[in-house]
Amino acid sequence: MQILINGKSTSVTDKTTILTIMQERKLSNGRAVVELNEMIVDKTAWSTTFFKENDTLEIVTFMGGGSK
Amino acid sequence: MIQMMNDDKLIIGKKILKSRLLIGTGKFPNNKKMPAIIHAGDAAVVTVALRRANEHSQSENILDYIPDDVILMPNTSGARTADEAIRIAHLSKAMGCGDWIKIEVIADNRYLLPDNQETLKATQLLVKEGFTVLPYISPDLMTAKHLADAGAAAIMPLAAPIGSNRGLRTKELLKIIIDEIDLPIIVDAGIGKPSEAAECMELGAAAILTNTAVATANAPQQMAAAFSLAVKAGRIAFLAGMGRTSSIRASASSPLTGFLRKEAN
Repeated sequence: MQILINGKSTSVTDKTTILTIMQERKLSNGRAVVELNEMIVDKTAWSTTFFKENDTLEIVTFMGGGSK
Repeated sequence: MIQMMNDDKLIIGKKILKSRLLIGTGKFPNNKKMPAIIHAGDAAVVTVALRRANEHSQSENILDYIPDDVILMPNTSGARTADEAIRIAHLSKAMGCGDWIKIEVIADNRYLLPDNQETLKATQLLVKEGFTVLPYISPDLMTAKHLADAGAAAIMPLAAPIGSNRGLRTKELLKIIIDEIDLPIIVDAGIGKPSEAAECMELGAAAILTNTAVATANAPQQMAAAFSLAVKAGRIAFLAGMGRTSSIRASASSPLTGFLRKEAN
């Protein structure tokens, strides 16, 4: 199925979890936060959260930033 | 003087700040120099922004370069509405780095001037949720009053447009807010050089936030040190109370030298 990850259409299977994606991207170390369809998913639920068609996943982290 | 400085604590939310300088981490060429710059500026608070995690650049994280003894303050940069700022605040809190948030709502791309009304809306909600909220505003007294009523921890009015290094363009409006609002006033944005930071502090500002002036200096570490000294100097001058300003005629500060000539004193 196709889902949107950070705005980019991506193929996943019905066995893919948020944790799978975070591990693939080397982001599972706690330095990122995940939002599935605009709801924050706590890290403890990453391994049990699967996807459905057209889900929107946002993965965010802190960057250098003053303003704007 | 040392005693004067020791007794002069800035408290925001529930925290005592170790200095009156806040540093933004944008525009620096790489993160590795951040610890030395933050240290040179003796910064009490460091701001960061929340962005999409890029697949290809996860080898380093800004958090690895922020010393443990500074307060981390995420901002809501990128938000154009109160709702977007609130969403960013929630995500930032979920990062697990505390509950401070600098509200920044900007829908104007030419001057990057903040939307005070949306900023107030976001502040009202986030304070109720328990955040320590520091709103960034165009210097408007009534907005500042409403923000104080809403429970903002400090107010951050701008000196000039973000990143402009144009200095204290809003001086008189800032002074009104400093005089009228019983909260720490942190002058943010536009301060281009240490002398302007000192001037803000002489006016009675509680602290200064700088980013571009340091990040775009030839030697950012030295510039951070210069800002630190300027903020301290300005603060001591404020506490000391300024000497009077006379009319253009001079006023001798030494005793009259009557012995040089046969004049009556």
